Amino acid sequence: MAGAVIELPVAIARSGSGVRPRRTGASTVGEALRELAETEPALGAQLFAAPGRLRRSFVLLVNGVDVRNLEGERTELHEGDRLAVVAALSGG
Amino acid sequence: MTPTRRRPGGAPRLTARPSTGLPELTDEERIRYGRHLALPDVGLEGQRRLKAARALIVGTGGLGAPAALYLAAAGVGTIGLVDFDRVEASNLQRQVLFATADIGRSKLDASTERLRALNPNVTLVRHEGELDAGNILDVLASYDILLDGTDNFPSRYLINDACVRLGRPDVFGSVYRFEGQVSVFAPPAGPCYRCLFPEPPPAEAVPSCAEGGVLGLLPGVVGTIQATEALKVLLGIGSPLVGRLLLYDALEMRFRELEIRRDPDCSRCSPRHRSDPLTEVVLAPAVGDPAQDLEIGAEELDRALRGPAPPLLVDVREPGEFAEGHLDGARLIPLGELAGHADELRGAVPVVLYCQMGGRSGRGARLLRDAGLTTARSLKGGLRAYRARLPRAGGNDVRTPRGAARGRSSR
Ligand SMILES: [Zn+2]
Repeated sequence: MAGAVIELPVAIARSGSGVRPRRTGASTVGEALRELAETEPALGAQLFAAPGRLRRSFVLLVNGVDVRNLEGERTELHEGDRLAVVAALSGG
Repeated sequence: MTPTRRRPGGAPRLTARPSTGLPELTDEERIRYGRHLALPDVGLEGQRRLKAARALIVGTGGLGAPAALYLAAAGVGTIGLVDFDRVEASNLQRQVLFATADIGRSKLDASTERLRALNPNVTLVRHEGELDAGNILDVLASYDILLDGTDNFPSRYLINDACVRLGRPDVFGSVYRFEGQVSVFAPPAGPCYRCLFPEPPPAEAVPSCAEGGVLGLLPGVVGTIQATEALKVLLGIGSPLVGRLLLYDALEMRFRELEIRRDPDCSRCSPRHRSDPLTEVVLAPAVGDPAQDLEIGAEELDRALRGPAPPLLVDVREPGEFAEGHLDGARLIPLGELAGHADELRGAVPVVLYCQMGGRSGRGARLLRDAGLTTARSLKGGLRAYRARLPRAGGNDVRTPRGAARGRSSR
């Protein structure tokens, strides 16, 4: 399978095993996250406020660049790309 | 202005206070700050600048403690401290302002004593209580800069909004488990917190450090970086973390930097919204949550407890947290074991669950409702909010050993 890799922070994955990188064959950021939400509904609830509407409490990076500075959810993913989620932390 | 060193990339700069009218240093201060005076970027003028400076530290916990210690040591002339909590044994693993003998004391009493001992030249201003939309502007107005050492999203958004409104840099730091984040929010030079994270996560998705754990020295690293950034901004030197989010991973020992930009439609720092009134941020319940009245406020719970049919209180935290202090009459059932107790709770009077901040008890109340306990509720904001709102709530001692600290605090 072709693929980009999705990296999740522990604040969203909620467990050490939950942060294992996931491979995705999706061609865009939005598609990759929708697929992830379907296969892992618990993660879906963390990522989406409503079906199709991503929460705005985390930053999405493709190869270290904020997708808001790219094409947002339509940012393309290619073989070897890394889609990382940086979640807001509140602890002090 | 001191001569500035602009990095080739043209990093955003913040303006330091003008150099006229700065206070002189005493002989003792010249000796104490000798290593600063020897630094070309600080020197006598920079040290006088620090002496004139006023920094507000919100929260004297894991982040605020190291930040307060270093800012006091560095000679920041006036340091305001905001807190309402008491020192607990489980704080000492990371909150280095406090000693074992401080357990049970108010954090403000303990921290001002410690900081005064460290540097009696510093003026310490106590702000006992919780900042809210009604008082934060008044408190912040007399300070040059704010360091956010709070531990919850509503406070972080409120602080951001107040800083944007008054044009004060918000030196932000946050931690969870082994990860930290630091930035300086200072529109228009860079984005604000809402540009970065326009919305807080839903209530259930917010793990507290009490629940998820935090490596003790993680807030030490992040808090000292916050203090470093505050000093740079006050001195007008270097390149502050404006427009950059620094990510620290203690496990991998890796620092990464993220370029963050202003959101032209930001709900707070865009010109359209800059003067919007401050409001409290409420963490939304999970998607499609059918449960109504899932939460009970501190005042309402207090009334119910004094009423003819007081609810059964269930503390869903871990045994160690329970042992450190809980509400009178509460029964300990950690969240992980709650499902196994649903049947026996079903026969009871209305059940109110609580935890430290309201996250775990919210999940617990939902779990009980799914199991048919339709009146199960969760204390909004948890024990934290209860203590802040009702520091002397009758009949409910939240300290341990019971009553040990009474009369020792000004509260
Ligand atoms: Zn903004």
